Amino acid sequence: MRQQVERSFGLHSLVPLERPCELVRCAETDADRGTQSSYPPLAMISSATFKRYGCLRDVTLNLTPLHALIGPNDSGKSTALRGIETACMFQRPGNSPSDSAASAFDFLERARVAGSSPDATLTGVGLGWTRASWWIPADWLKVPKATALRLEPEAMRRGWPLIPKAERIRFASSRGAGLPAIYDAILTRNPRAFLAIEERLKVRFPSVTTLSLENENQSLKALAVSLVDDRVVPASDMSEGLLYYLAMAALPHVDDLDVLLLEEPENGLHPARIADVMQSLRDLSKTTQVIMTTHSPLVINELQGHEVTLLTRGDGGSRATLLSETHNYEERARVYSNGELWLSYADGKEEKDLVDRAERTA
Amino acid sequence: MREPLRVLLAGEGANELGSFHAETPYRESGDEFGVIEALVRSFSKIPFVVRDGITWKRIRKYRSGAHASAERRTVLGLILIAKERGFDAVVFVRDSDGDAQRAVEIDAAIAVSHEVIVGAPRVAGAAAVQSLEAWLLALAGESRTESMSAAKLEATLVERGTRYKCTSDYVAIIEARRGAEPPHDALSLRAFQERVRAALLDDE
Repeated sequence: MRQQVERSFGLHSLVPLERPCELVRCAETDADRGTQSSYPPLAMISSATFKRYGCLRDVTLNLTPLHALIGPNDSGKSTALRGIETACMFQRPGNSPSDSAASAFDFLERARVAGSSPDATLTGVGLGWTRASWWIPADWLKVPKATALRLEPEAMRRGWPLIPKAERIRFASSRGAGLPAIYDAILTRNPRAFLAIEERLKVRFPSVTTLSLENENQSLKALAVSLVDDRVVPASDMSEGLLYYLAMAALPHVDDLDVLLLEEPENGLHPARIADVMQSLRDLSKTTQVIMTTHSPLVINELQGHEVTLLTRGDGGSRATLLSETHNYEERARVYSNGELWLSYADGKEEKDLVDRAERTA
Repeated sequence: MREPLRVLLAGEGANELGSFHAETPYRESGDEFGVIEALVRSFSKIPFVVRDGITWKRIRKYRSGAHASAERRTVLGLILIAKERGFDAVVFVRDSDGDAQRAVEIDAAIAVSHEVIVGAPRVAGAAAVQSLEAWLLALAGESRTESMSAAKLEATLVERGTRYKCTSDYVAIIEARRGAEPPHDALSLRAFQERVRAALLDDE
């Protein structure tokens, strides 16, 4: 176990650090947000190891600040997100960097100690993370807080009580409940940010003129938009695409969003909007790690090969392969964009032609 | 004696590919020639065997970004498929359907294929102007077929007693003119002929 921990931590330390100036950038971002900064996003999850966790019997994901999990249905994508969310709950805060790797596998260790047979009981999820840069004081390294979102229009439409001034801005549920309250908090705490979202919204949805909040009753706020013909569309009548867009636009203003675990961000979006949403997620990933599942080649087109992990399920459980490490990737990537490559070689079952050398058939 | 070249065909449908146009599980046991195979047999004396065919729509056309046209990437995708599946050569025909740019993009894809795909198989392909029927009528002795409309092509074929979109009738035209040179005004057909001869050259 100790060997595993050391080896893992060594690997994580070598993960390319893509945000060496994170402190500066983050300070600017927080100022823009007008929110109280809890701490800069000093750590990101660089790997997640799953042992006998659902169909993930022995799988390690090497993660990037913006990362997508793809693969056939039932290959373990959502299980992986759930596992990361669970593991983040179990991590202990306040570890020094040298302890953090041990902490990363603490969940595993405790499971092993508790069981009679180490191999048989080694169950759970271990996370390794890397600091954003080496000069950051050790006591700033904090355990990432993971927020899982699987947005559902009905939850986002619902009116919601306001978020008090002293409370942090966050979704009330993983389904997106509390979206009106988030927008109300953005409006009251940072009106400029609210106006900026509204401006972008008007560009993306030309029929919309204003974004507003209505008092559904004495205690509940609900979203609404006004159209060019002066009609007001309440949240109950809004299109799903508009609601998804509003939820994505609000993400940079949500507090304590260290790691965002996002299920299928393409849901309900017109193909032309997907690139916009992916751009906003990439911007968000400068301060918040975003790990998502997707079935959309258009989402994959906005990512690089090392930012996409393919999960496939075989007799021995699921296995993970970076898209950039699939068979003949370098050559295929010269012909296909990433999403097209996935679509061209994936059969939706074993993805054999994508992962393994294609058989000679001539 | 050398092994026959293993050839992959690609085209838009049954007329081009014969029995290879269907997906493998639905492929009938018969080995009906399509127009492309008949043309290659007519143009080249190199021994070859057609091992598979792929319809144009099964080559992934979907793409995003603007660094190459869909047509060019489709051709490159086809060549990559042929390489990965171990074919010695790939031969394809695509209707230009009034889009002159198609031929340009196909030519560009073939020109860069050996740079993009290391060890790419031999490639012979062209856009038929305006469609395969123009080539068949040219082989049958008609002139200026590349400037005929689709309706005119169909009417002329029928006048000559050829059933429109009937693969066996199309192949019969080619078989009857085996070895004959296409007319000088059938530019796209002559370009295809040159490419087949160059690609399926006996280099031993």
